Amino acid sequence: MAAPGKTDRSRLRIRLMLGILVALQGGLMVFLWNLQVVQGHTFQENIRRQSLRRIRNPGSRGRILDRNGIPVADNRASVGIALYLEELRLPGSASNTIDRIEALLDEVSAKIELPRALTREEITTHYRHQRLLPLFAWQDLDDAALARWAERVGPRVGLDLLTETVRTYPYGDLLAQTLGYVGRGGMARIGEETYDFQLPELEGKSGLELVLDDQLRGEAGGELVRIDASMYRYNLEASKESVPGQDVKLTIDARIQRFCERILGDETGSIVVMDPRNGEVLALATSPRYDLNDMTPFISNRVWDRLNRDPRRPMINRPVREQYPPGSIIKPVVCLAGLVESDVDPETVFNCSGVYYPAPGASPMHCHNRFGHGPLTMAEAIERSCNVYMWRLAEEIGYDPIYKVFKDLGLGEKTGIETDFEVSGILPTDAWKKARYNDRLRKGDIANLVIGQGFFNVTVMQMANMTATLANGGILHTPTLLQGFRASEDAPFTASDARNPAKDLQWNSRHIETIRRGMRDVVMSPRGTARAAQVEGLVYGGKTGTAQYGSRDNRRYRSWMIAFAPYDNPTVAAVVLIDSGLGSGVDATPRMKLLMQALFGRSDDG
Amino acid sequence: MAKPLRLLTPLLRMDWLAVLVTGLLLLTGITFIISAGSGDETTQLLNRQWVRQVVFILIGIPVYFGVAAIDYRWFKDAVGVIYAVCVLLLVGVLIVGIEINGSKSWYDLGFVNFQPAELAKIGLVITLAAYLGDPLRNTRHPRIIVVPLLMTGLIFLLILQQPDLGTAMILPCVVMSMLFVAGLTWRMIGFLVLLGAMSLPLAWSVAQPYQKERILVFINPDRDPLNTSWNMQQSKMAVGSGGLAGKGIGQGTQNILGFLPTTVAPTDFIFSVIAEEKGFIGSALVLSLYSTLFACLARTALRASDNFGRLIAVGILTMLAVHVTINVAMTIGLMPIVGLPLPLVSYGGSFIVSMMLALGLVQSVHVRRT
Repeated sequence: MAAPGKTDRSRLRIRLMLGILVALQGGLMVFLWNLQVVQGHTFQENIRRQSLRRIRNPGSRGRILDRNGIPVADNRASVGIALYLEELRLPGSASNTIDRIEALLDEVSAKIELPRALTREEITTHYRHQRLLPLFAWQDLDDAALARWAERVGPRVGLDLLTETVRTYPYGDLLAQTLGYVGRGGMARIGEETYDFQLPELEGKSGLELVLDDQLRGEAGGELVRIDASMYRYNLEASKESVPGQDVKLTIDARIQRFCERILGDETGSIVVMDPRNGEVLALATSPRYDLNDMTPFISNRVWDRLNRDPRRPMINRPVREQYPPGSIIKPVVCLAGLVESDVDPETVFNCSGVYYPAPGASPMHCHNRFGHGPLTMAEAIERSCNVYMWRLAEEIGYDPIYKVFKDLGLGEKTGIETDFEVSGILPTDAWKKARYNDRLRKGDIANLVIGQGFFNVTVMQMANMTATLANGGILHTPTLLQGFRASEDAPFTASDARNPAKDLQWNSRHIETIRRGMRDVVMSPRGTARAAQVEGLVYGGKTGTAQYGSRDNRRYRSWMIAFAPYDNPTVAAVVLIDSGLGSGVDATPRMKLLMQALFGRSDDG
Repeated sequence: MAKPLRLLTPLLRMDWLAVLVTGLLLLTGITFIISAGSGDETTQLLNRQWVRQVVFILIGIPVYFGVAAIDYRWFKDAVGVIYAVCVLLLVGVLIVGIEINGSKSWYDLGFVNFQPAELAKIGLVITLAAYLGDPLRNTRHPRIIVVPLLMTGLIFLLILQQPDLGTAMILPCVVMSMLFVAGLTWRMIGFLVLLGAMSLPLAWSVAQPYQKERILVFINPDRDPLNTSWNMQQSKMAVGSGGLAGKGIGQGTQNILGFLPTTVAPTDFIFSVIAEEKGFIGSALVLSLYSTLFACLARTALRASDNFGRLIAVGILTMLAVHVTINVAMTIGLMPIVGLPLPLVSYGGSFIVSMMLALGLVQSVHVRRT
């Protein structure tokens, strides 16, 4: 048993401890006396009329410019009248305060001659959940309303002008699906305290506005402002600078883009124009489109319903998001496979009798020329777009070399362009067909594939990049929309280094020349399938394609044309696709002609 | 004696002054939670904070008296189980707990979120009391600190993992005061204080960035006046503007105008609501109530029939007092914000119940005093 001394020591120490604790409370009381009674009146003075406003300034969003510096997504200041609910608060139940706010709104509404825009419900919701944030009573005032405000109302307790930034798209539907739009962002951002009230800011919702949101979006700052009772003298208590977002310069040329959109007209389709020397996309046009200014700051139900009910799906960014069988435009690449992977002599002649049997006893497949093209060399086969030549060639070399060249050109894979929702197309393999149909690729499948039909699917973007690669002699670039970013108006644009490097496909120049010559003849020869697209004074190469689809009584044609120009040292590679047309002769070819005229024609303007 | 009477005897021997003070503090809490929540009259009755607070107090009352009726010495044989359950609950919360404001500290029980650290603090007090209160142990020997420090350290580290720095900080104070009362030599006390001081730089190096930010802002409030120091500034302004007699219940402009955000006003910053609306008189009265309660707990410790009971009372007293002192010091700008509630007064379900459980335990010691 411990000595009684032990308990005594414990008792002493408990008393000591209690003494310390009570002394601590005493100390707190002394401090409180000083804070509340001695200095109390200074705090009361500061707090009188509860006059601190905390204003959060979202950093202005970066602009999006075309390659020549023309803004295609810009910001505009918009002035509105905002309520500061906490200054209007009355003691007692919330409905007293809401009544007061409603009376104030009615009064101001009469004076500035604008109908009231806020319902009681909206005020109540804001009052309950975001009281510290200004609530816009009227937005985007015109000069007349501002004048009436200044003359008849003016700033007063709980009510003042507030400027906000709005996103605008100066050219409406230009590049709409690719640019995308912004909307009101969520309230909380990571890194800020959860109970910190804040103004919602613009946030990318789709397209480049979404993909590049991190770069475009600024960093919010704020101000702590004390306002005196007259509401006129503002005293800045503290502030934190906001940081504007970065400007983005696109590779798109707004004029070429607009021209492409114009020649698409009302048809459903796409046009892509690239620079084959570096993979920069000059135009990424699609039709139908929508006006981006209808989408921000929010999409009205009316617009949303209209866009979603439209069977032509205007929301889709067709060149990257839709995939189609390429049809005959793939034929030059099939021939190229014969040259680079199998050493076929381009002068070898295959005879086209107009019909072909993929296997003994199989049902016959026909050339589009029922009577047959007769004996053809490779260049002639490309020029006339002969099916039987492709089948015989494929029979000769097998699928593997063709697959290898398709794969090298990036078919069946996303090109890596910076848009959202890019799809990869379908490059069929045995494994693909096994998974899909529990079967291997058969001769008939391959026969379909080499004329761009059947399971084979590509995007317009893939075809543009393929054409650019044929044009430049075998350098595969990752297509890009971005030239660079700049942190401020006076800083230079610097390129982002995120892009994959170009890949040299190591094609023999003799081989690729054969193909390019064949494509030149498609346009320039009097027998070429695209001779209607000739442009005076310009030598260029191309290839057309048509695919049928739809039922027998509702037959539609998908019409393609790819082209590169000029023939020597190409600076442009282009694809035109009309999704639902009457045949390539009337759909894609004349549009390619217009495009080439616009880009290279002597008399027409650009 | 008839059986019902035998059950009543413990009630008669309870410390009724402590019961009274506890009740007054609980009532104060409800009053100012109503005040801080004014403006949410449109919320469903059962979801209002003060109603929930009343419900939890109603759950807490039978816990309080029930524990007081149980002989606390019964827990002495169960300390192994108690400690193991605490550790398991703390490990479990790191795995299946839900995250609120960046801390994984709560079990979601549906109607309420339960914070196991609250229970673990009480469990630790009981365990330490059983170990140090063993009459055969020589508390003068330096070796005595090893086991208590290990037992505390494990729980401390588990709570730090959530992370809940505020709650974890209570533990070193509790173990120190219990060792002190158990009779540790002054030399060893000096050594422990030195050890604590030396571990501060280590604590700084493992602190979360937001915790460092709070401390830096405390040292220099201009560092970030819009975010981190906002609550502190506004809280200090609320307290200061209360004056001698305050603005009246429900009239605190800092509070009702939402300058003190409604998410923290009824919880960690309830004291600034009281100080603004009832002035110095109100805040001094609340501090006096706490001092009285401290004195009651100390009296129980002095009169306890054994060392086990004495040390339980001391541990609970320390826990309570540290909570109160840190919370008040933080609301009036004397300490960085650490996010500790004001016991019995702040809104918070599981904290109210566990606090009443702790005070009931001290009552059990009081009932069986010599």
